[in-house]
Amino acid sequence: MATAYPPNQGGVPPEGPAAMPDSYFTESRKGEVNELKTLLRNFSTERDPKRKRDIIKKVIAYMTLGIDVSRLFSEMMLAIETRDLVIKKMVYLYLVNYARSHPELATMCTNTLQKDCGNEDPMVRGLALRALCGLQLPGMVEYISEPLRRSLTDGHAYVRKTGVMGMLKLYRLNREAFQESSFVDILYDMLRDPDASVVSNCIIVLNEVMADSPNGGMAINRAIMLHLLNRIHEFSEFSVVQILDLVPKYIPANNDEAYQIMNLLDPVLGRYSPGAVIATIRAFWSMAEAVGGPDEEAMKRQIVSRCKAPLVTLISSCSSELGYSLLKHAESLIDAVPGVFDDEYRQFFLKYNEPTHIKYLKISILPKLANPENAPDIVAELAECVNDMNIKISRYSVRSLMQIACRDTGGPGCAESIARRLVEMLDLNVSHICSEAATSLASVIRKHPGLKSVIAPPLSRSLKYVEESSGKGSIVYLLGECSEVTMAPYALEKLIDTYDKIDDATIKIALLSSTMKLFCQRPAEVQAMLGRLLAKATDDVSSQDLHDRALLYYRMLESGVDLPVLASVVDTKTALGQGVNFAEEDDFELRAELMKEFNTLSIVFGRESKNFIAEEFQVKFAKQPKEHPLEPGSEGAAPSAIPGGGLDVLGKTSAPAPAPAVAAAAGSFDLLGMGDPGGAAPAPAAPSGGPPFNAAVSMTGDEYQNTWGAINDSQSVVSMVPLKKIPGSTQEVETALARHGIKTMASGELPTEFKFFLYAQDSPTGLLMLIQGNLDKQSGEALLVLTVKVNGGDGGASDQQKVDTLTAVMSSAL
Amino acid sequence: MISMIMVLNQKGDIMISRQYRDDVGRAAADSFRLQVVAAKETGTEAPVKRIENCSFLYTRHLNMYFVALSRSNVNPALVFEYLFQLIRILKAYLGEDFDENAMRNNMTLIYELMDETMDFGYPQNCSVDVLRLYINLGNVRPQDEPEPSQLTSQITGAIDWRREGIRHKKNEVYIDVLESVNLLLSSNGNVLRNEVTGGVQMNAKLTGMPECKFGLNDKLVIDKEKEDRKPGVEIDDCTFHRCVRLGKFEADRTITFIPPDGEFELMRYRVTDNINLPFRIIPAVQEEQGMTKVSINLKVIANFSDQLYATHVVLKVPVPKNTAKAKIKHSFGRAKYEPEQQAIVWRVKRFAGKAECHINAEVDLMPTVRPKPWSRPPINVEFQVPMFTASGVHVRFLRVYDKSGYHTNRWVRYITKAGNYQIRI
Repeated sequence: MATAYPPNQGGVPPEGPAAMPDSYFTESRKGEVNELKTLLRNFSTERDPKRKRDIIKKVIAYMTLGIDVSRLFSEMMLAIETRDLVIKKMVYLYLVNYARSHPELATMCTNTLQKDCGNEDPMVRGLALRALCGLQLPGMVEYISEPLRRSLTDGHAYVRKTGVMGMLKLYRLNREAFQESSFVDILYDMLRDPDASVVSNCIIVLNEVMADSPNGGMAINRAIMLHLLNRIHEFSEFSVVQILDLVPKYIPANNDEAYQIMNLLDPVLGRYSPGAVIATIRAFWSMAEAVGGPDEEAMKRQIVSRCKAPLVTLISSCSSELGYSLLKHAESLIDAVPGVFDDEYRQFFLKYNEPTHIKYLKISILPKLANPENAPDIVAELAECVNDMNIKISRYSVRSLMQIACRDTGGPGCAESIARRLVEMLDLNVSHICSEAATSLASVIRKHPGLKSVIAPPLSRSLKYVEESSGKGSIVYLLGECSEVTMAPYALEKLIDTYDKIDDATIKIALLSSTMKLFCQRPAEVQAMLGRLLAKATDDVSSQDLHDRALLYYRMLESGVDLPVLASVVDTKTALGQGVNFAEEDDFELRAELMKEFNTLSIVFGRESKNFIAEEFQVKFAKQPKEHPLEPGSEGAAPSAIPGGGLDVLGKTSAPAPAPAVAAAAGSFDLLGMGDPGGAAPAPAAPSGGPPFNAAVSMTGDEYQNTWGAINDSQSVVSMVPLKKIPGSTQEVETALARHGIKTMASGELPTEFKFFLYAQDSPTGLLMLIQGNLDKQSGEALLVLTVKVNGGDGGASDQQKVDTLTAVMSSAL
Repeated sequence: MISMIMVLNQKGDIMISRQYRDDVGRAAADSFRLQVVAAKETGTEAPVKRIENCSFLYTRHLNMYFVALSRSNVNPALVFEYLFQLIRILKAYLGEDFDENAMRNNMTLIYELMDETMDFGYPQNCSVDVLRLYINLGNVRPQDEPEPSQLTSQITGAIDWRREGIRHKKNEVYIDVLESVNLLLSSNGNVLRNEVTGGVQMNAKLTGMPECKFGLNDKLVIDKEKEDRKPGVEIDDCTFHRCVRLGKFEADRTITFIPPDGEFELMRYRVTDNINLPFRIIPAVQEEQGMTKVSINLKVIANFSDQLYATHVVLKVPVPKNTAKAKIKHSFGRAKYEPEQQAIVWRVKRFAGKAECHINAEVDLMPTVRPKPWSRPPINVEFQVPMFTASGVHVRFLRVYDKSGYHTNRWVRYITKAGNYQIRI
């Protein structure tokens, strides 16, 4: 707030070297400030809150004008002791404003602020807390931590909400202090807060605080995700986006869950909030990708058709700025799933009074919607736009017409009708349209060589009045291609005769190659002018390329090369095959990358974020939770995995949440343990008679998940290992087992139990065994319950035998 | 997240700037002034601009620029939504067309609003009704200022758009169905684009926490009930104020809600099929050889019941730039050539239903040295037709349930306006 602009208002003269000497103003201001000071001190104002309010308002007004009122600090601090909220707020404003420039004064008032943090009015508590955190003084950390911690358990949501944001400020102020206190765990717990705005602030803070963790933000698991999604209707238009942004990071446990999530999100599309609608589309998209498989494309198509109506409504009814951003997003959806938006093509017709940037965008989208049914309408509309007074719009429209023809999506006859329209434009006698039409025709001919007869007639005449060099070059190129035009050599001859007046190398090069092409077709007519052209061109040193080419042709002719050989050299072979498009239209990689960053500026700029966002502001995007298909509870089997089964969503949040939190905060404690990417599944079988388990085996997390999921739960074998005592940490168990060839994929400690995800390879058969272990800490009995799945086993007696061996090994190890 | 919000005036001077993060400075305003304000690029260039590794997202109100700055890869829709919300809040506090002076005179208030609606770069509660309860330095004060302790209980909570204990002497609900018709006709009479966007505005003056149920003649509902005589309207898509229970709507398309107090927009919808166009216009515009004369013939037919009438009908028929004079013959209203609009503007205060009108104009052109082709912009039509909906939507019922079971008066108005009603010539 120290940055307020000092305006010229209310009788206060402007700053700077104005007509009168500076000292005069300082004097007068001092006078005013002094007056305020006496007024504030005056006893009578104490009793009249209205009057006091006015005075303080005046102080704040001076402050925003840029006048230094810091001399009133002590008086203002006295005024903080009031029941009047308005006064209080203004004093806080004053305080935050002067904290940076007068740190010593600000420290003086921390006591008052701390006291206010315990005020009986929640509004005051919240405001004081915000002011306290907003001071942003490095020395204040110790004063902030305590009130912050208290605020998180406050009875009123406003205070909690402010407190949560305050944590983020503390984190920015001093990371060590933040990490020392266990705020991250508290934040995870607070995701269950009954108030939606508190929850959304928690997500914001966690995402930012944990940005450096492997998850690139808040750690999520199934319980958290479902808990949040079930409450999604409580969130306001801004906070709902925080939740929706978490969904793309989440890997659903199975396909059913992905559908379930999509059903939960569906009502959000009915909100009048562009941000929420687009975020929902992104969430849907990610769920389709998670389902994957052969249905993925069909699902994406369904998603886009579902979202089309709300998106179109928003585009047609919202402001131009939002409309622009939404159109950009619609465009990338059209690119990703062509065809779905086709029937809404009328929405993309230009309105006369739209801002031009929207018009440009619509013109570039229209060709992507063309199909045999709507192509005539779209072509007619674009042809209409060609006559627009705005040169850029008219150029873009011609180009869009060309794109429809080149993509050949408009059905039979469409390309030809477009070519005819373009030919008509050549005769329009408007320089930019002629030129653009010529360039477009050159592209059309490359895709549809059969249309030469349509294009040929006006070429030689239009060469005279196409002025822009790119257009002229294209006409010359076309003349070379359409050698059947009788007049072609003579049109070029005129150009050759005025060779010295051409100042653009592209025209000269086109002229050279076109004349050569004609020479191969009709040597008798062209020979003379070709000689003149080569003489000029070999002398021309303005362009290296031109010079070299001319020399090459000259020497070939000189050495008496056969005409067919010459023709094969000259022929540029620029025709595009069936089903081939221009390279710039088929940039699938970029599009796929952009879809990953849907709902960000990347879509608006059409660039990946790594190319335009400074490194420190880039946010890692990682899918999570990696361990979670290992919770067979999600599939309704093995109830031992999650305490309390799958009944109570709220209750579940508590248990799994802190585990990843601790893991990510500590950084060193890796839940997944293994990161070996090269590990292939079954290693070669070890010779029998050795140790029962092959120690050389290793697996990646994904393999483990897939294998576990692939084996039917009915084939799993449950077994128990009694332990001597409850182990102190998961580490103890892991090292003991590792000595016997039983590896750990992941493990974790919850308040009530230990969980292990283990695997081992049976040496004689080479079969992999996946083991899930649970150890209840509270039952008092140290009993490790194992659920074992044998990969490739028959689920019968031989599996049971292997599990028995395993149980024996483990009990001896532990 | 947003690093900074600035408000600049026409010249590009900062009027308000609130820094939420310290990763951008005031210098950014200078680059914005040079590259956007001075370049006069609003309208031609996209409203998202990247300058020196910082993204500027901006919109305008009158001649002021509201700019959000960010260094990270933000969600553009969200940022714009916040900017609009901010402008909406300022409108509520400072009046519909607040200007530079109003901004300057209320700086304290504005900073306070900006602090409350955004914390550390993330939007917070932006509901005007709730903000009004505890930020009242501005001109707007709540009519019945509640006790401070009561105040705070509404700042958050599940229903953050309405506070408890509201009392009205008369319980009334005003419902306005506002529709705007968009039409784009090609010169040969083909419909290029035709749709109705509608909104239901409510002004609820109800006591307590009433539960409301609202019904339109939605085709899907009517078909289900199978008793109604008239077929319903096929609504392509609708969106709702956040007070509406969307889950309920998804399930059986009933619209239920606890309304905010006072004015709000309950829903918006879009209809594209079976639209009753209120005006049919048949144009014939001919340019004579040599570009010395243009003759314009128009037939306008009011295509609605003769019980109704349209007001504020304005037809703007464009003419070339070099028009010297125009001879106009017309049956009613007032028509004249307005050089500043480059159009013949024909105004009718009251246009009865089923009426027909012809207008003939002979336009003489000034000879020019280099004849420029005329771009032939479309004819633009403005109108308002009260008690008429182009989509055919009407309100079937509004039921209000409250514990005390009071009686509610309901008032319904309809009005159809021209949105983009254009006919190419």
